[in-house]
Amino acid sequence: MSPHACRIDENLPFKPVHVAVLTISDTRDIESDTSGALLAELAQRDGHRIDARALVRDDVGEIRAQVSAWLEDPHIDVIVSTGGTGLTGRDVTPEALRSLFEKEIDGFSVVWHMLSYQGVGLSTLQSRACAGVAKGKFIFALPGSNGACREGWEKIIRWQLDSRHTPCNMVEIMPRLLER
Amino acid sequence: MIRVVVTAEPFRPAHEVARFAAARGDQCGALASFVGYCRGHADNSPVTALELEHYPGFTEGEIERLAQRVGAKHALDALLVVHRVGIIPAGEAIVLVAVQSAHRANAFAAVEEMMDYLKTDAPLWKRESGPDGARWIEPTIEDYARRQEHGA
Repeated sequence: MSPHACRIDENLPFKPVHVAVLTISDTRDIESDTSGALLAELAQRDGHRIDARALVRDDVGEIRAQVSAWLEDPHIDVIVSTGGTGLTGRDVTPEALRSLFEKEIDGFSVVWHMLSYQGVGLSTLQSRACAGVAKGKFIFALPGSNGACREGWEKIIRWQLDSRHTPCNMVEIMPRLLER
Repeated sequence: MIRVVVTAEPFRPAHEVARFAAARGDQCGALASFVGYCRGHADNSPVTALELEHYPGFTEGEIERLAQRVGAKHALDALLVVHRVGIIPAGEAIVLVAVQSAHRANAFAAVEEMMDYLKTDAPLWKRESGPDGARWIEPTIEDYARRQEHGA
C-alpha cells in the first residue's frame, strides 16, 4: 500500500503518539461506526495509542466543542476525524475545524486528491479532506466511508506519524509546533 | 444465533440456505434470504471480475457487530451472513444474507437492513476490473439514502 516515496529507516526509534478518533455523523452511533473503529484499529496496529474516541453529529458547535476539549488535553497528540467532508448542506467538518486551525496543512488535501483520483476518479472532487495544526497537535479530517479512511491512513497518515519515516515525518517536528 | 463467514472460496447459496433452514427451531415462522451476484455489466461497461479486499479479523468482527444489532432490532432467531472476498468472477455469488424469525415482516426488513449495512458500513473494499482497468467502488448516494432510513 505504500506510495513509492515512503521509506522507513529501521535505525531510527519508533515513537508512539496518542491519537483521538472523532466520528462525525448524523446516522451512526458508536456501535455502528465502522469507520472510527477502523481508524482506531489501524492506529493501534501501527503501534500508536488510542486515547479517546467520540461521535458527534454533523454540527459545527458539536464538532468544535469536542475537538477543542481534545486540544486542551495534554495526553492527546493527534486528532483524526471521519465524516462531514462532503458537499451537502449537512457537511460542515472543514468549516468547524478551520476555525480552530492555527495553520492549515494544505498539502494534505493536495496529496489526498492525488491519491484518491487514482482510485475513484473525479469523485474525489466531492471530498474536502483537510488537515491542520492547532495548540501543538495535528488534526486530520478524512471522509466518512471506511474505504476513504483506509486510503487516508494507509497512504498518508501512517507514514507521517511514523518517527522512522524519512526524509521527514510529522512526529519529529511535534516538539517544535509551539515554538515562538 | 448469529453466524458470519468471510471466505475467499466460492460458495453455493442454495446449499447454505438449505443448511440454515434445516437447523431452524420450533419458533421459526419465517425464513427470508437474499443473494447478491457479481454482474457482468456496470454502467454499460463490461465487468470481468470484482475484487473485494478485507481486513482479516477486523472485518468479521465489525460485520458481526452490525449483525447483532440487526438481530436484536428485528427479534431474529437466527442470522447468517456469508461474504465472499478476493477475486470474484462475473456470475458468481458475492453475498448471502439469511434470517429466521417468527413472522415475515421482521424477516424481510432484517434482510434488507443487513444488506444496506453491508453496502455502506462493512469494512470491505470493492474494486471492479474491466477492459479499461480497475476502479474502486465507493457506496453510492442511493446506498447511503437507504442506510439512513434505519437510523443510527
